[in-house]
Amino acid sequence: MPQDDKRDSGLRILALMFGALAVWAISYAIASGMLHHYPASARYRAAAVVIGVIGFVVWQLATAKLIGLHDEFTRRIHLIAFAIAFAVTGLFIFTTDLLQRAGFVDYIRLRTIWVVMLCAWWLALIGAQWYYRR
Amino acid sequence: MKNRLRVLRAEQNWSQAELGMRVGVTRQAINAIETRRYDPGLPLAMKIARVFEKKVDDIFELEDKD
Repeated sequence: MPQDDKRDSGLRILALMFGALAVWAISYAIASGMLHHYPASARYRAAAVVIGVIGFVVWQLATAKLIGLHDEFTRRIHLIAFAIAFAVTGLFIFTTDLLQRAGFVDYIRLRTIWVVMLCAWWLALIGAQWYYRR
Repeated sequence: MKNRLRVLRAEQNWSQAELGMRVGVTRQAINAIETRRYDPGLPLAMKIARVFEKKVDDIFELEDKD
């Protein structure tokens, strides 16, 4: 039954999405906890970095898999969104670098760049969908 | 690229969602093709041609600007 296949596919996508998000969140929480509780131990700090990075890579691979499960049109929308996010993040880094060197702004945290990229990605996704649906 | 998708779909009395299901894409994809905001790739164009039992050239037509 096509409807059943569609529902199963939807459930599989949801499970993959939330599973990967859970892995990322848990690994990040563990890594943060280790860095907070064992700041003096180089071994623990190294382990925290490895755990955090593995969780993030799992999320990245799951996201790539999820995008690959969609049809070519949806993949195009994601491609556009990634391209826009890349451009916006590049512009942000380049501009803040110059602003720092010019003495107009202080140190920019890496997490700020990360948030800018995520916001640009999601806004670009919404914008690309809007462009094709209007 | 011009296309006759809307006309052919109307002849079959299919909704965009139904055509999308037949060729394995979303309703939004069919809408984007019909409104000429998106040109399908060759595999999708061939699937569309197959469900209408036509050649790709009978449905999609290159314009000078393409």
